[in-house]
Amino acid sequence: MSQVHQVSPGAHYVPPVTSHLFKATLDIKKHHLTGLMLIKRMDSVAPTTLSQQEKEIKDEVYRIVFANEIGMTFFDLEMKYDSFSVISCFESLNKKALIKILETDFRLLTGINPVQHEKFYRQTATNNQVFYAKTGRYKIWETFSPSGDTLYTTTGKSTIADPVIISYQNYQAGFPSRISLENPVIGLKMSLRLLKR
Amino acid sequence: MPEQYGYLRTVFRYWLCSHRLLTFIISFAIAATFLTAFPVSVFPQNKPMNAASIEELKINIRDAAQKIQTISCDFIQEKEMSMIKEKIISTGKFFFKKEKLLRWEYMQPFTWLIIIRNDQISIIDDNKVNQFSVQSNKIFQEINRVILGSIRGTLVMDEKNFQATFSYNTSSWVVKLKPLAPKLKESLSEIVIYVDRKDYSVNRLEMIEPGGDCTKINFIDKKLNQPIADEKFMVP
Repeated sequence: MSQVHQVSPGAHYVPPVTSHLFKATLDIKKHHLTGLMLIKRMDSVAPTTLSQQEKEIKDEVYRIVFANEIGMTFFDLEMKYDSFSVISCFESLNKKALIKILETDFRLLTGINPVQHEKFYRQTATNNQVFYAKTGRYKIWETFSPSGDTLYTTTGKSTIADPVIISYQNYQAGFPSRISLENPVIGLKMSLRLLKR
Repeated sequence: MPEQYGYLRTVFRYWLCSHRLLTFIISFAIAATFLTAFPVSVFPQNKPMNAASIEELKINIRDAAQKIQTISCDFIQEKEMSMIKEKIISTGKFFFKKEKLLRWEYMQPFTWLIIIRNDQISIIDDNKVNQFSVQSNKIFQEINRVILGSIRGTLVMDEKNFQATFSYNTSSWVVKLKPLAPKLKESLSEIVIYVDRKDYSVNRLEMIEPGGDCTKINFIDKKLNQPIADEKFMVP
């Protein structure tokens, strides 16, 4: 382990009050869904008694809408620091276990949750910088380029049975134009291709 | 933060609020004047229809649908998400040939092609072809029923599955369909079809979801009964 540059965990994806439109595919077991996914950060006003850092975290509100190409909504989710609500969901997708997995995936993708026990280290073989932390019951590892300015992957798990791997590729103007989220044990894979931000 | 900045921020917010209020009052006054001066021509009002007119309209729609052999047009699709004040706009080309041939090609902001050939659906997405029968996929069963049914005029007559109300404005006959089937009710609370007053073809289709989100498809630059080669409905 060697000295690392400063990296910005989570900073890859959280410009406030912006939206990102992706062409999306969601594969779960034999089901293959395609369409458009809109992820929009729409912050609320938090009480002023909170510290600035707490306020930043507790302010974050995301809406995640996945609709097929023709416009029919597969799911519409609202994610806050302390809650996750299903606004609407296609009946066949509205299963508690699946919604929980999507919650974990989107929390890791957006970096909405606060982290603790942070550590930075550098991988000896690749010279990549790694940010390690705990968030809720999850341990996360964010792997950055050697210079620390490009996020390659986020890996999270709470047990051996629920790992999540998020890969960021094809950076354009500092933002990954392709993101894949994989829950290998349960066979869920989501691919996002950026169309507009 | 120094105290004077807090004070300035309060003053700025107060100014912003009063400025917004003033802007709102002026906008409201202009809008009220405008609406009083041009009540119908600018914002067409839908007027209800009596039973005899409805029957006549149904006959005209059915007759026109029977005469339409092909349709080719461009489309602009808007998905409006009411709660988050966001629209997703997609555009493309649309081809229909009687009885059940449909080519629906999205070109912006993504490419996606759906071809319905009788009861077989092919989807070409990122050069990958996915083929299945209409019956095997519930989502596409509904899409097939709503889109093709609107164009062929069968949806308007489908009293078993939809409760219809009819009205009209200066440019269109407006048919509002409330699904009766529980399955369809879960995904669509209402379908609104705008039928051209001149040729009885569909100008616009609105699919309203139970949560209030809405997809509007405007069919523009329509060409009716122009020859379309069968190859158009083949998987490339």
